[in-house]
Amino acid sequence: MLQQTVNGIALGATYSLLGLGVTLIWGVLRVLNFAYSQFIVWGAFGTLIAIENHVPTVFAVLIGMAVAGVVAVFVDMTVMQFMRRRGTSEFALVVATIGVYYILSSVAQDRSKSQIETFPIGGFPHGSVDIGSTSLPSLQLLSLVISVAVMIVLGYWLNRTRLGRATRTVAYSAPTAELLGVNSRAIFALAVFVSGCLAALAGIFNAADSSTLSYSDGDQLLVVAFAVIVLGGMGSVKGAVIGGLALGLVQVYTTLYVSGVFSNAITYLLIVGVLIVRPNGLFGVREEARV
Amino acid sequence: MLVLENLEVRYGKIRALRGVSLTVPDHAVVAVLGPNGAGKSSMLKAISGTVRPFAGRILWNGTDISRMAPHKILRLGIAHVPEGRAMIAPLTVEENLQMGAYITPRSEIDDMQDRMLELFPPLKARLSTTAGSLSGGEQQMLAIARGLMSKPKLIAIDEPSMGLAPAVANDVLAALAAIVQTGTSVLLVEQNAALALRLAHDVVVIGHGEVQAAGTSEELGHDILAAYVE
Amino acid sequence: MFDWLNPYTQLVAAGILVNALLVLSLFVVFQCGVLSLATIGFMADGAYTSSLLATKQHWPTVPAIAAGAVVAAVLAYIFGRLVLHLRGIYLALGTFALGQVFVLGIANFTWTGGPGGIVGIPVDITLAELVFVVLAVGVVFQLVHLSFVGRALRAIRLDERVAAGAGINVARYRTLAFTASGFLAGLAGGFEAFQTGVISPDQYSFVLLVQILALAMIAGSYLWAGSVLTAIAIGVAQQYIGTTDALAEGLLYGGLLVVVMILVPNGITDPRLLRRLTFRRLRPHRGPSSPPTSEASPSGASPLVIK
Ligand SMILES: Nc1ncnc2c1ncn2[C@@H]1O[C@H](COP(=O)(O)OP(=O)(O)OP(=O)(O)O)[C@@H](O)[C@H]1O
Ligand SMILES: [Mg+2]
Repeated sequence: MLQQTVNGIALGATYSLLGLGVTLIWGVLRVLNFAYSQFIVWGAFGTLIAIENHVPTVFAVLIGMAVAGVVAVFVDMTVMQFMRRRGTSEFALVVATIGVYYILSSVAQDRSKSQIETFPIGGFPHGSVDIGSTSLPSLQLLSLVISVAVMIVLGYWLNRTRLGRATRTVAYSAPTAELLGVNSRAIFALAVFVSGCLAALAGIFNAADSSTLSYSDGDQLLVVAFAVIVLGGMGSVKGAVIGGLALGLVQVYTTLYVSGVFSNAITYLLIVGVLIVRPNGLFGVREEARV
Repeated sequence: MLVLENLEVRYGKIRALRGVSLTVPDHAVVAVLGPNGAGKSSMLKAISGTVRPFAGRILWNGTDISRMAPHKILRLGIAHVPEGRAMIAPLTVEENLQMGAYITPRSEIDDMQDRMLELFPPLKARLSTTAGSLSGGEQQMLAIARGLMSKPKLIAIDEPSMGLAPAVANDVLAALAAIVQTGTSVLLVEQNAALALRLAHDVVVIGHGEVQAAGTSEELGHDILAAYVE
Repeated sequence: MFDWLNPYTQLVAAGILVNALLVLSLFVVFQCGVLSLATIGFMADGAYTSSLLATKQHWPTVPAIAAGAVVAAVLAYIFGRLVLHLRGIYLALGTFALGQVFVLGIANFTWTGGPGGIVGIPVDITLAELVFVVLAVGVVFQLVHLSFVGRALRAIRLDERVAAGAGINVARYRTLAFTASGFLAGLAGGFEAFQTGVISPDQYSFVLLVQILALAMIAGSYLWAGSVLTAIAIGVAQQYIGTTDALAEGLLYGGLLVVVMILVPNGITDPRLLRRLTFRRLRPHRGPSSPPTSEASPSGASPLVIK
């Protein structure tokens, strides 16, 4: 039981990273981005290719993050930027991200010849750390530490720095931010880049955990990310971390007490259920009606 | 010096400005008056880069700024306090002021903030309240203060008296007068002609997107006030 | 009736018509401003209900398919009432998850055949029957379009609040549209199952949803005939281009979605677009007017809540 809780938290740590990335783009750009699923995949593939070319793991991870960040910024600067300038509805924006998702996904599928690749985990922490009667795999411990660190850094950045204040201003109203001297496009690009990096990080942890990688890994993780932000309240940084941990626990307990096959279905059920009961998330703050 | 040359602004088929020319000299206060829908706000938006002019030029000290992004125009020294105050509601008053100083050198920010609080004393007690919960008058003060935090050479203010009680409007006017003393030019859009005439040296009247009259407040003041009283 | 077509062509044509039904299922909800991503889930409901009835209870084909569509409609009604009060992105997300719940549920129960699916479904739907059904659905759409229901749905899409102010029961019409959407998707699922004889949960994939969504978005939500014609046109074009591998399909549909959303976000049947296309030649060409750059209204409360 205690061990299962530890496992759930460990699983949830990666989920938190996923949620943080989505919450950031949602918060700043108000886009629910389906292409995020492929940022996860492209980032992990970036790392995989780097490792295969004998790049030390730490740098390979950074390369993967950069790949995903650049892809995310590229998509934003081309498709999204264009649509924003035309004042397209959020409806159309979501659909466009679905189109981008499909393009990126089919390219990844083609490049990987629809195969499931082996993800080399030699350079990642292995073994596990014993805490009392429970043990936690080092990899998961690392991902937990990183997601908590990311949360703290994001929180500090958004609340305490000049750039973070500018980001919150852009999130509230880009035209007003511009009038105050903020280059809103640069802020958008920054938020998107960081979000891409977080997607990659989550994808890499996921791949290292299973030591496999496939072009379709992102699909399940995207749903997880959606579930996390729905649980934690969309746009909430703290909510993303709590939501991620909560979802990890729920999945582990479901596997334990109900059945392993339902741990995926439970994710979707949670999304529907929470949206019906508490549309602002379990920990979310009520969002004022938008006109 | 700000010069508008045959400025035209369109929203789709609507022609909000149809060739407006005017000059705001350095150290001057120019009031722009006109009825609802005349195109006053559109003019300010074009100046600050919020909307892109359809035709015509906007020269700021000789540079054409008519196609620049708003954040670049602010860096050149033109601040725009928009209609409706554009509060960043979830940020506190202090954070709003800090955002106003986004382009100001760090060493000068604290000093500027102190000066703004001197100019608008009611803000002092509300520094850590969120801007969204301020009263209308306080929001207007914050909007102007925030615009000034970037130390502009010219500040374009859209209807500062809108929705304010006469006493509060007077306070805001007094603050504006103090701003002018520091050498900042003011381009003041107002519907309250009496208020604007007390501050401005020059007056421009626009209607239907065109300049209908321009002159000093002495020349035009009487006619304008008469027209408004009718 | 279509015997002169070779069997392969008949199969392709049937596939295109099934797609047309799916696109119509999206059209119904788009028509009143609801972005529903649940269609594929309802398709699976219809397909599984009808296939199980036919293979386990030995129902004849036509009643089985009809029952499948009705079950999908009932599920849509029940869950529609729960999720339809959501707005915008939340609605898209809720319907997306809802659709997936059905598919995953089906994949994880044993009585549905689990991940392996169902085989041995009688293959006895003719192309003529399918053509008849699509035409019949079209007639119903046309009648609804002309009726007060059609007007109400369009009013809701234009402005929900104004529609509500004019005495239109917005919630009821949205539920009605969602139910109809479930029915059509269930119908499509049933026909598809009895065309191919085999179904499995993984065919109700996100990729299928994306393809249908692309067709629906290209068609727009103004004319039902636009949906059918778009499904047919793209389906036929795809046969000629020969885009069968995953990469080409992804680039085609993904690219179409993106391009359409950028150029004609309301689809090619947008009345304003049609008007512009027909009148352009009659009027002297003027330079493009300058749209306001970023004059968006402030987006309400800050979504970033960090404490
Ligand atoms: N974003 C917009 N889209 C379309 N038309 C607009 C837009 N903004 C302004 N207009 C139109 O342009 C014209 C001028 O508007 P503007 O806001 O500049 O007037 P104003 O003089 O500031 O009026 P007020 O005193 O009421 O603020 C009006 O006819 C208005 O309807
Ligand atoms: Mg105005």
